[in-house]
Amino acid sequence: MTNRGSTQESQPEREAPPSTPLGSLADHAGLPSGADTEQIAPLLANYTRRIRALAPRDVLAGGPAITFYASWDDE
Amino acid sequence: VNGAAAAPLPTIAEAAASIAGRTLTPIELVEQVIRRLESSEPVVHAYASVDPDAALAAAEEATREIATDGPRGPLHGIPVNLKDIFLTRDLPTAAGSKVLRGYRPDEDSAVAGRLKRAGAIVVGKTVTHEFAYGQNVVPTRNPWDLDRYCGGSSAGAGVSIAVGSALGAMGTDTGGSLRLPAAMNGVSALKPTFGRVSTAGVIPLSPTMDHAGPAARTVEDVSILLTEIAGFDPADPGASRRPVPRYAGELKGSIKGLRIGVDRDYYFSGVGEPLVLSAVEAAIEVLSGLGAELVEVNVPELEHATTVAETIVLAEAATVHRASVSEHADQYDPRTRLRLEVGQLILATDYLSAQRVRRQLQLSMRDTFRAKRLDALVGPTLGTLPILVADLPSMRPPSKSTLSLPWLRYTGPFNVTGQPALTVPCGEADGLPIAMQIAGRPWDEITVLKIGHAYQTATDWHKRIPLDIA
Repeated sequence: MTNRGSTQESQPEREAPPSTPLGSLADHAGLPSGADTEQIAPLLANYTRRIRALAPRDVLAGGPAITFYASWDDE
Repeated sequence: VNGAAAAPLPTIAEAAASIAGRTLTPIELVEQVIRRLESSEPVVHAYASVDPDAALAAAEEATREIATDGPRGPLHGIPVNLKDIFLTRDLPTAAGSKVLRGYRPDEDSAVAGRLKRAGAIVVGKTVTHEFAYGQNVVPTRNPWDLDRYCGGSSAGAGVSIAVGSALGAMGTDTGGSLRLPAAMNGVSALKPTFGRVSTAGVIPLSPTMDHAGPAARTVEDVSILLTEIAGFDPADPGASRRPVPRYAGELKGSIKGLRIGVDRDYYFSGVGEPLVLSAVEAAIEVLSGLGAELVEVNVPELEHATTVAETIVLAEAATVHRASVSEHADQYDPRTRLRLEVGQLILATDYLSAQRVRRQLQLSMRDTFRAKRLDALVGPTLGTLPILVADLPSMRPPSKSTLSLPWLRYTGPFNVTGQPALTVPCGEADGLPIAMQIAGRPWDEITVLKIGHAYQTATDWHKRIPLDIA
């Protein structure tokens, strides 16, 4: 199992490149020591693939605003 | 023992009438509920914390006040509970997590405050999955079959109403977290329109998806509770200024002519269990028999709702917990922690894509309601019977592909759109409850509640009790 704790121990200098691309991102995101990147990676890939498949290609789709309010009013 | 016996405790409406008529005192009612709690808790574990002495003291005060001045309203002297993510000044709030063990807030959540001002008696705090995320295993059990899952994350809310250890319960719902335990335990619950009930003082999971709402045995009781907890709150930036009707007073009358949509592609396409789907079909026929007009609809964007919901909740929950995970990683359940860490890696571009698809789903739903002149949309609340606890995904190592819970398919869309959605019991199979969901236009809780009340006037599924523990 790869985790950030062991990765960090084997690479004491923070500037050194991490062992995996996700490790680098995990560092950037500030994940706590011990975060299990082997478990995280496929989950993240799955979520990311599915939402990107839905992302509107029409840049005007949905109107100019991003809103989470429930109103159906036209204004 | 499953059965069709009438509920041994009064409903909120019945108790309120008896209290107003001086034939029942809050002390008598709260004592009755505490006896029920004491007999059921060793079996079902619905509560995270209780304070019977404080509840009895509040009941004595309510009894004195009512004797002198009459009741403040229909909740005066009524025993209720709150999910353990609503902050409460006089009870601990741990949100089902070691991270908050021993936490005693200085103030009440907005909902707790409103309930107390209405004179309700808070019996205790109910069990929740850790931070309402639904990943860990809770001790709470389904009273219809103790080997079965009780639903979550508002696990104790559904169970406590089912066994009668409170007459009203407050839960939260981010993807179905209140409606699902209500469905699995044979009780009624409403996820109101986003912004209808303040979430101030509720520990957030996903601030644009979180809703607070009531559960009770009947739709009439849900309506009474909603009237008291709904309304604008400057402490909640999402709260609406729209006026709040007296919901319970609007329930009576025919549903003849109401147009009720059924999306068979999404809700009856073979994803659910046949026994469940046929029970819900029968319930929809009851609505038709009451004069409602059934309308076939198709909202293809519903298929996107789960993906949208997952992306939004992952990112927002990770934001909420970022500092806490960093400081207390080892105190989180490993499954909750994994999900929060995945969420921390969701890109802003993907989160914003999810919000854009969300808006498209909202608009598609609006256009369907308008084009078909719909008053509501109905389907199952849950496509399956409650599963065995041993079969829960959280009892196994996390899947490599997904952490999502399959039963969010039916409830999650209305967290995405923000529409009100009610669940009512509508059948049984293998001695386990089945439920129908009724969703409406934003801010039109009245129509949804009216349909649910009409259904309960014509049927008795809501009167069944799961376990003889009297």
